Amino acid sequence: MDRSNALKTLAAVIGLLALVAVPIIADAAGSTAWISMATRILIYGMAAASLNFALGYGGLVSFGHAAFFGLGGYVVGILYQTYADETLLFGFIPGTNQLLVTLPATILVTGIAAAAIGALSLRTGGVQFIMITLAFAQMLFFFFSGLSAYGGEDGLIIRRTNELFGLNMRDRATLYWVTLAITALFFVIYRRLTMSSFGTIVSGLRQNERRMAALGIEAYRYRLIAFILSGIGTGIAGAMLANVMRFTSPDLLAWHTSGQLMIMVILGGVGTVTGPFLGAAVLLILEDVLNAWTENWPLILGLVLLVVVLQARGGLMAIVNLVRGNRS
Amino acid sequence: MSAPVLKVEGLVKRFGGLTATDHVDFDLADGEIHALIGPNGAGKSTLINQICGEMRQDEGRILLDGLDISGHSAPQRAKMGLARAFQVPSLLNDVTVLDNVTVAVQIRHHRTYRISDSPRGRRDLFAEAEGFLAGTGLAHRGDIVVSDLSHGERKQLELVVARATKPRLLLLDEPMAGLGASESQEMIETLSTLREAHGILLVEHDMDAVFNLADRISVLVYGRIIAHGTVDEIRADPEVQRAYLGEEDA
Ligand SMILES: Nc1ncnc2c1ncn2[C@@H]1O[C@H](COP(=O)(O)OP(=O)(O)OP(=O)(O)O)[C@@H](O)[C@H]1O
Ligand SMILES: [Mg+2]
Repeated sequence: MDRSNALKTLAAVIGLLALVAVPIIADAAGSTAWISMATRILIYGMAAASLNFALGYGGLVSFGHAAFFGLGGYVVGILYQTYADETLLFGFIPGTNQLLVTLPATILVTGIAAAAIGALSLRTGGVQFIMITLAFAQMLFFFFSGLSAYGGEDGLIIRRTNELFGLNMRDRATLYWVTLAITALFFVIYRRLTMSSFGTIVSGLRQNERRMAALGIEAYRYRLIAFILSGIGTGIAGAMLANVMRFTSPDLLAWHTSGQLMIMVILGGVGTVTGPFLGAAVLLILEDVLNAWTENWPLILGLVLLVVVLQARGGLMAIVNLVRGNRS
Repeated sequence: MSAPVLKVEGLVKRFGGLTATDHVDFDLADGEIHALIGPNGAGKSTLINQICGEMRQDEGRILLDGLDISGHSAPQRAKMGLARAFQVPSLLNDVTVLDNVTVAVQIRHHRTYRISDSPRGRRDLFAEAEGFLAGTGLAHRGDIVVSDLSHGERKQLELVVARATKPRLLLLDEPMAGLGASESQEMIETLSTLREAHGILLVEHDMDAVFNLADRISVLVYGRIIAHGTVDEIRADPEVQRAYLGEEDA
């Protein structure tokens, strides 16, 4: 047991070093586009992993997580514009371009939004839950599409990435490393959460609500907390995406963003810790590669997804575990 | 015998035209085994479902320590000390035997909202759960995922999980059903040791077990309690013989 733990730690350290080295390798290879791709993978990975906590662990099939992803983006965008215009939001909130302020603000806003959406959606279940979460996300999509003060349908340009400790955030590599640090912190918390006492209750409710009721668990409040945590995680990812793209738009709130996150989770492995990150990497790279190759890329992507899901129940993580099992 | 902890008064439950519980009075005291017997479809599980709060009765009251708990939810009643074992095992199937027991232990300790305790930090819970498995047929099966267990093992796990909540009362719905002869014998021994700590409502078709264990027996037929008494009284009751025991001569 100690040996396999040591091996795991070693693998984690090597993995982390490889991630840290990405900008250096990309520079050496002359492919700086890799840096942006890697940054986006980390961000989408966080969003998918957050969705996975609700979907894979809690059995809460939300088709509305785009709402939190987009809200995170708009928190950054609107606070930046308020800062640039030197006005006050709602007449009393000053704007800011500081990441150490916009991220907590994102947590607050997406937490409240997830509490409101969750409180209503969780009164239902099954297909109804899927439809209601979708409906809420669409409502926000139309709301921001019509919000002309903040770009409306065209979206909102953020002239400069948020500042952090005086780092040069215009430098892609620096921004990547900042994102990596946030993702690493996110990952530690998220992994702990899945194994925690609370996580055990949430996954127990997915497996058998009747059993959990007989043990004294009121499902609603636990699911609501799980949904809020999940929404906050996705919101943080959205805030980071807005910073990296220096742009946010209603597109992020649209149903296909929810679908994209869901595909990442399913592709990587529902209810696995690292699967969503793997799913995000594979989906984003595939989209990129296929897009350059043929304009029928969505069709081919669909076929790839079909094969992975049919061949490996449990997604790519099932394949990874298979390979691991064979080796030892 | 001490005063009843659980009292059921004039309970009625109808499913459309069918009266599954027909003005049932029932009580259960600390430290006794009160058996509830009756043919298939008599309404035994339906009665347990109402006591646990999974189903709401149409008429009547359910009292725990004199308090009317008719309006309490199933989780609230569980926290007040009512634990059940399901007739058809209803467990967390994706996780191990030990995990199932641990969940019961952590809920009893109110350890349900911690979002960052590691498995190492949960070691005390696992250790306590191991204690409930020790000495049962599942003692060496802690690492097995529930979906890989036999039916008999799942029935045993139902009881271990219920015990792990340290309840005041145990409501057991046919704990022996589907067990092999030796497993049944073990279950009888287990239940006879458990009676000291808990009141037990025992629904069971295995008459040997019932006559062996019960302090009192109630006989339920078509939703109505047609007889009630000690083992000897029930054995001798002609109506019971005709309505129930007679049918079973095998
Ligand atoms: N949810 C329900 N809806 C409609 N009818 C039900 C429901 N639950 C039980 N019944 C009916 O109520 C009657 C009593 O069922 P119940 O399961 O309580 O019997 P039981 O005594 O536990 O039988 P068994 O020994 O077979 O377990 C049966 O006729 C059954 O079909
Ligand atoms: Mg029954």
